[in-house]
Amino acid sequence: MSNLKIITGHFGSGKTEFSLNYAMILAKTEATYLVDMDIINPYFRSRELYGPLERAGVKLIADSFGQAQYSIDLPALPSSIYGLVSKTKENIVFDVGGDPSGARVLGRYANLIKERDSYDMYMVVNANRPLTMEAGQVVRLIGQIEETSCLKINGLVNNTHMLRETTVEDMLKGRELCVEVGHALSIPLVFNVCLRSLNLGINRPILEKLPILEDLFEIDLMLRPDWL
Amino acid sequence: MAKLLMKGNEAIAEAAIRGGCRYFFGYPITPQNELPEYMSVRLGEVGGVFLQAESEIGAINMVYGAAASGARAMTSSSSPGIALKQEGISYICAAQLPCVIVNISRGGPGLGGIQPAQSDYFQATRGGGNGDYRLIVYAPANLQEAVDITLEAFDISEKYRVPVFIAGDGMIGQMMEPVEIPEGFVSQSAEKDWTTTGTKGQRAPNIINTLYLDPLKLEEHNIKLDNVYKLIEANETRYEADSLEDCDVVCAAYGMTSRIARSSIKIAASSGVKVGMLRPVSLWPFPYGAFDKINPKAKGILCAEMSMGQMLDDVKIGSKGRWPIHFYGRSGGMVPTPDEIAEQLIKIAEGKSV
Repeated sequence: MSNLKIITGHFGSGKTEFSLNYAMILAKTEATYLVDMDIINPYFRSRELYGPLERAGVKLIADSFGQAQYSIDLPALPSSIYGLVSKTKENIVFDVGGDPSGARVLGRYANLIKERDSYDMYMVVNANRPLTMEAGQVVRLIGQIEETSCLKINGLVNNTHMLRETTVEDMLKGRELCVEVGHALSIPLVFNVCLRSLNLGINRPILEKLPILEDLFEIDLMLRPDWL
Repeated sequence: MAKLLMKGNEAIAEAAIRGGCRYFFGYPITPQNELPEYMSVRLGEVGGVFLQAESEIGAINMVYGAAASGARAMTSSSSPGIALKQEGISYICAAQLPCVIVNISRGGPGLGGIQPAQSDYFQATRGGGNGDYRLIVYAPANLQEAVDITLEAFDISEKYRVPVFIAGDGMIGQMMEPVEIPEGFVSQSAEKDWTTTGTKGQRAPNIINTLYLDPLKLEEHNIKLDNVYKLIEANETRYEADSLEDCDVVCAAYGMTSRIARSSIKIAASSGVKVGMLRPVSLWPFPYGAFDKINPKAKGILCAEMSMGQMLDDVKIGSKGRWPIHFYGRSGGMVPTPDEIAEQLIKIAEGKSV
């Protein structure tokens, strides 16, 4: 496991919710940076949660304009990312914008990233999204993201959900898809993500029927307001 | 068919295609960009045409041209972009051309910001363009409703030869939600004997024009349009109402704000205040008649919007002075919280000034 985690995927796959939850968990034991590299989405970006991130001990790197400007959509990234990638030994989570177009920003850091001892680049997959429902589609998307980012994906994150309507079946369906993609590309499935509100972690009878106990990753929806 | 998890802009685009849209003309602007982007991929697959125009003005006039030849054409934009399209919209209405226009609105005035707002209510319902014209304006409150409305938008527009205008805010465009887009939607496409598709030497030419220099002829044209608008008012008014008859207070809200208000109503209920909900789905024609169902003894109506108070005017017209009218709004891209609106509702029920 590398201490640089790059989170990519189709837009709407849940990359940002995963990144936020992941960074906050890492920050419980070690110093952790979350880099919001999303320059293609105007809403639902991790920088919106600068308050909760700070309270969780996560150091947020977003644009160069400060918190007051977190609602602008300039395609600009702060220069501090260079220093972070080349020097920092602490945990870094890259929350990358969706699709190959969102992953394009990684290209400028690709050489620095490759000079590190290692990096992990995960593809977040939601099998309920129209363009990532079949293994062929996911394989194609991985190829496209690798092409624009100039980096290699080495892990899959099954985040198959239907927001608050998510069922265990959704997660299992996505797991099947990820396993198929994993076989095709020789990439391991790293996490099965599920909503904590599904109560899988404490619901032993359901859990015992699942073959996926070891890699369950429970998250809370952080960006979506309760009324939505 | 199974539910899909879609982003609002994508869901509207896919529903439009299933509803018969084959021509899309647009120009990029946040927060609606996923809509044209989706169209640019999907329209080619169904034998349609996607064209990024040189400007919003170019796009709306391409819609005019395509609609004149009988095609199902659509454009989308966000607030300042819709402002640029107003001249074309007025011309389309004058020429009685059916089409679908989507506004995924953001904070204004001017260039404003990119966060969600409902401050284009006047623009949509009062006309930003010139002349006596109306648009059929629908404001969905969730993605399934946005899909359902968009699916039948072309049918409704062709039936009356009046544009259907979908008023969604940035949140509707950007949020994800499970949706079902039915495969087997059967369009009730209207017979079109007015299109400019060539006479083949067998009939007199159809002329699409908006210039009437003879004032009597122009008045006749206006009366003809007005008769259509009266028909739409009679047939196409849509709203959702809950507990209006026996409530203490009414909350009037549309689109995304109505979602927030639903949470506020639950908060108020826990304080013993019964709040009725009036949610216009069609902003024009506005459901003035629904106000007659409101408890005559209700303490008041709270109009909640993401603006400084625009639908408020229609709420006042509909209430005809029967109840005190209050307003609560956030603007500029700020989204009200359920607690903020609940506090106002409880104050009204307790007879305190808001």
